[in-house]
Amino acid sequence: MIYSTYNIQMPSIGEFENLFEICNCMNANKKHTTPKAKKNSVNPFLKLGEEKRKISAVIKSGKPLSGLNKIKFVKPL
Amino acid sequence: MSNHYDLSITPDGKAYQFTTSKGDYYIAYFTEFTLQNSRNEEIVIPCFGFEKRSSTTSKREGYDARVKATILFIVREFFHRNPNEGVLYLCMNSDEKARNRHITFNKWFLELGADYEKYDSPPSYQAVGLYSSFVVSGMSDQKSAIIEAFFYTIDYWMNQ
Repeated sequence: MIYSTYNIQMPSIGEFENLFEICNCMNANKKHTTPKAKKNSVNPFLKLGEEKRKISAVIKSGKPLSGLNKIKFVKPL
Repeated sequence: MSNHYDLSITPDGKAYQFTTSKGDYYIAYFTEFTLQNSRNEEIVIPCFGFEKRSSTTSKREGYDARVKATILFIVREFFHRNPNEGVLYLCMNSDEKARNRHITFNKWFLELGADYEKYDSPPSYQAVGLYSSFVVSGMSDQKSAIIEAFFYTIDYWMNQ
């Protein structure tokens, strides 16, 4: 069966918050041929942006940061 | 004499907190950021960030120099305790204000002192929204390795 390419709806630029989301989307189907490349397949800047958004939301809501289990904080001394 | 606000650690022990004279509440934190170098080795460095919870819903916000003094105090303290570390900072652009934040960060960095060096994401990447800076002590014995990894990581992901 042949699928028309016109049925594929790409998100518009305005639907991405920043360029890195575009890069990450384009990378989604790229082949990472080495183990290191696979391990490093998460864009750290994109990940950081997501973390900052979550932290911001938690702080503005008055909830503790301890609820963000997946974010690694460097403990203040 | 420092003009910073009194600091304390948040109850969950994850960040610093302070409250301004207007009643605005700030949290300053360090999270982990993974750089990679040309040998595909990972280098984990701290990434600094801070967030405000305003005391009022008013959109008019006056400038408070003590906030800057407090943030700089935190960063200096971090380097005092971790002299060989580098610290990354990313200016968020979800509200199209990354460039403004970057400019402010540049001004604040000038007051950090001559002992520190700052490296920015290249202008061509800033033009598409990546405003990231890296601060390191000039005396750090890890400086060269971390700087190399910082730019390598940016180039790696911007050219994927």
